[in-house]
Amino acid sequence: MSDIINTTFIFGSSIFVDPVYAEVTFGDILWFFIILVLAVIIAKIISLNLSRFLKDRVQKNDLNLITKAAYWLIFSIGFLIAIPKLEVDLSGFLVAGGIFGIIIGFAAQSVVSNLISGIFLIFEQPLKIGDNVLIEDTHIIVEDIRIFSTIGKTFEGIYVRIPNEKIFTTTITNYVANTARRFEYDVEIRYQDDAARAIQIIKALIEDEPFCLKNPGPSVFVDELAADGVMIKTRMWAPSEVWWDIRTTMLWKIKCALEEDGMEIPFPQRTLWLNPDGGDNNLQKTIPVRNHDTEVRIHTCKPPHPALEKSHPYPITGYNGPDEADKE
Amino acid sequence: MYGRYEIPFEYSDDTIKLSITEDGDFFRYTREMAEGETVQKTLLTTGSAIVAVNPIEPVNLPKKVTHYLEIEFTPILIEPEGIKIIYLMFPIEIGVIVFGNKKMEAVDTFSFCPQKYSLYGPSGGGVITKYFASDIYSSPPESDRYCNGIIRLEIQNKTLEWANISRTVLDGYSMKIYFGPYVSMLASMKILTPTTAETEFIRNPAASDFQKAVEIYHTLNIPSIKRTYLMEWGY
Repeated sequence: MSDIINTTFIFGSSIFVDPVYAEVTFGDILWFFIILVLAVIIAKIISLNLSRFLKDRVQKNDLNLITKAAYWLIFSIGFLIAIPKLEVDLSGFLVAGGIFGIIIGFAAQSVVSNLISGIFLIFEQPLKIGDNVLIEDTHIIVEDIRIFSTIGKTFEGIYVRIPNEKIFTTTITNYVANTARRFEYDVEIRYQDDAARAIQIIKALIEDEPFCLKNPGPSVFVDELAADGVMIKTRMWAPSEVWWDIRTTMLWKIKCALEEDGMEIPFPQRTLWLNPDGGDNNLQKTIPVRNHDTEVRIHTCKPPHPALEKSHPYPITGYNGPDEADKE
Repeated sequence: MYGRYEIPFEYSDDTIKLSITEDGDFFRYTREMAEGETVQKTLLTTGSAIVAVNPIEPVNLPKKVTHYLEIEFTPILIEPEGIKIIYLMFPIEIGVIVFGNKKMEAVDTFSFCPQKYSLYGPSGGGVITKYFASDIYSSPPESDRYCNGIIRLEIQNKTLEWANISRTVLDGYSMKIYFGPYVSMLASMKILTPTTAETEFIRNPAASDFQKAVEIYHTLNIPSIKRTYLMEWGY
């Protein structure tokens, strides 16, 4: 009882009753701030509990939007309850707001532009929190979409802040927006290896990998008869969530499986046909037999074998570059 | 292996060894597979915890990327407005679930079945599914209850055309799994249009001697709302 009397006495004192300006008293100003602080506290409690409750039930991006919306809604209600304490005529805001808006519009064009872009980004959702995106030349994982800017982190862990206006007006490549994505390898084997067998091995590996999708199915085929070997194009789909893990492990698995079966990745090589009977004017071209005994292969990464040099009908002079003559 | 145990407990057969043993103030969970895989975890509990080992929604391994299960089978044709029951196999994942203070947590999940995933629908709007290819049976087939379960699928063609069906996609959040002589689920598939169908689980055991498995996927239980999945990318 005595507390109530004391409270009444405090708020009834001249400091709280005497007007500070117009009819607004110090007590009104105090009430205004008390209501605002209460609104902030309630908004924080509700948004925090909402966040806890919905954490496992809605997507992170939507959760962020819901909790922010709840916070600002409660704060706005608190503000609208508190503002009459200051005897503010809200209709006056309409006129003042118009003029203020024009001033702000000129003074803070880019800020307003970022704000508007941020609102459109929230509704259009070209990117979400956690997405792996390329914005112009910046490759980031989105960490937060704020009202003026989007916060991200590069793969090196560097903080990146991009103004929303830039995001809204530039090209965004979202690597995980779609449910699944395809990746491919070029696997090269030697000409003497069995390409059909290699394709069979690669297809079996893909079948064994749980995250290489059944549908759309993989595509494995001979794509090119290249200079050094047979090129096997290997295409497969994986869930966007795990595609990088799969992409980084499958190639090595393929390499190991092919090697286990006796196949090799070819080194760069050239086949030289040497004419033992005539000069350049009388070349007899013959189709070489695909037999290692009659074929002379010189690997560019190795020096010519001395025994081969002896069998040449004409001398081969080593050439060590344009300064060779100077040495003599 | 399936059932509820008070800790500490131990189970072993030719393929697996499961145990929760007391180690000072801790409890150690250990799983050893015949092929050599070993998993160990430490539980901090007073010892009043209960452990359930049973089949769970088969959409978790090797990593959780979806909650949909897709079963593909040899195409079947169903007559206009026809109703038919078929039996299919589905892969089993086994969960070791610990209960304490009325809360549950999956300690471990494992499977004896190979895993495969697929995409249902286009890459832009479709869903990733846990994939399993099954034969069609007219009655519950023989199955290894630690590897394959049996789903009784009631297909109802609500269209006025013959429908060609070769797959069903089911939502893990509404799965009702029961175990007894075999592991069982009951579901229905309604063919709505030539390209869309609706699937739903039925909350009933295959027979009275079946026991309900503890689910690890939970949703808000609103009795009047049925949880169905609309197959809008064909069947």
